[in-house]
Amino acid sequence: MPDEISSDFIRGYIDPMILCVLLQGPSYGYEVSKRIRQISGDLYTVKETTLYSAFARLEKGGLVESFPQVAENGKRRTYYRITPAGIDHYQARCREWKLTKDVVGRFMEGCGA
Amino acid sequence: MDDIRDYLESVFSKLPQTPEAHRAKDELGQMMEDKYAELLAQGMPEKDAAKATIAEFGNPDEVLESLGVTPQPARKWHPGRIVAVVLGVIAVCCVCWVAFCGRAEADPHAGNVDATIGENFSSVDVSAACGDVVIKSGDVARVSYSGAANTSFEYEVQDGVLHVTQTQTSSAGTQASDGIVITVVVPSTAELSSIDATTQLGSVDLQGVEAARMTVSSQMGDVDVSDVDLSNATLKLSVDMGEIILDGNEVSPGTVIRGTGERIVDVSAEMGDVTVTAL
Repeated sequence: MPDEISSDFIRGYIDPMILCVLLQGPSYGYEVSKRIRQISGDLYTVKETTLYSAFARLEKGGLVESFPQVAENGKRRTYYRITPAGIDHYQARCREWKLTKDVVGRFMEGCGA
Repeated sequence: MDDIRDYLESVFSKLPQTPEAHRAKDELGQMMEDKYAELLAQGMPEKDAAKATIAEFGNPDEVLESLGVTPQPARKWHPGRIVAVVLGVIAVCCVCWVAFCGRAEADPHAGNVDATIGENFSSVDVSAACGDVVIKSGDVARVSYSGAANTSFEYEVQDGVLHVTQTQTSSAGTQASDGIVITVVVPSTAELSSIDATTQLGSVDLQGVEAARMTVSSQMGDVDVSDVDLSNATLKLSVDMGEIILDGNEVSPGTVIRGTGERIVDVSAEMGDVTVTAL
């Protein structure tokens, strides 16, 4: 039996994961990936390609905005911040998740109990 | 760091140079640099840090999708393409005819070469105008050529690179590739950083020769790469009008990217099949 998380499944939740990190303030690619790993308790590491394609998708949908900023070490980086539409989207996804968890949970946690 | 840049270059090399692609490359580069820097700060040796960064990069197909590029485009035979194929076939027939007529006067031994290479080299660069290219593994480094009168053949080791070049000298007519073979034998003990092999007309055959970066192509002919360890490789296979056969299975035509390993194997054929078979 697999004890590892299904990457196909979790990829469907990468958008709310990124939005959750950006709710705490603007951030850049690698920092977001580090936060995701930390919040997941080291159980999930997002690949760079997954993260970048999610950023591109979120920006296209108006859920995040990007802006260039020079970091402490003088490096120029692309930062992302969540937009009001992004906050709405995140909250909607949270409600959807609660419902999903409730429905699927009925079948996965002690069937028929 | 150079390994990471090379890797990104190879992933993006065949994409259209759009602002989106440029931005994707730039940002993926930022993320990889950050990760690499952190691994170094944790005390990881440079080589291992680069390896880990590339290994965790993910699947390039994902990025292509976000750029609006379909990773495995379905090829359609639109009219322009059919005209191109017909013209191509006519051109090949003309080339063969001209070469056949010219061959009666050609000295069959002209340009024949069979030489051992004494100098050490860490890269191989073979460029042929017309003829088959074979690169294989053996005991000693060797270059051999069975040529024809209106081609010139040169080889030299310069700055650690074995350059093998065949060009057409006569403008009277192009040569048929039939019977012209350029063979390069690489010592089995050699550790190569790169192999580049290309021919305009003819096949390219790589057998049991490996390098960190392998770029193999033919404009008109099949390309065959066999007995190569692909367990830690990023494979980029592309055909314009032929088939791609990977480990005996036909995969969808167009451009296919497989794996995210460190060794970069880029195989392409414009009019011909690409066949890749792992060790």
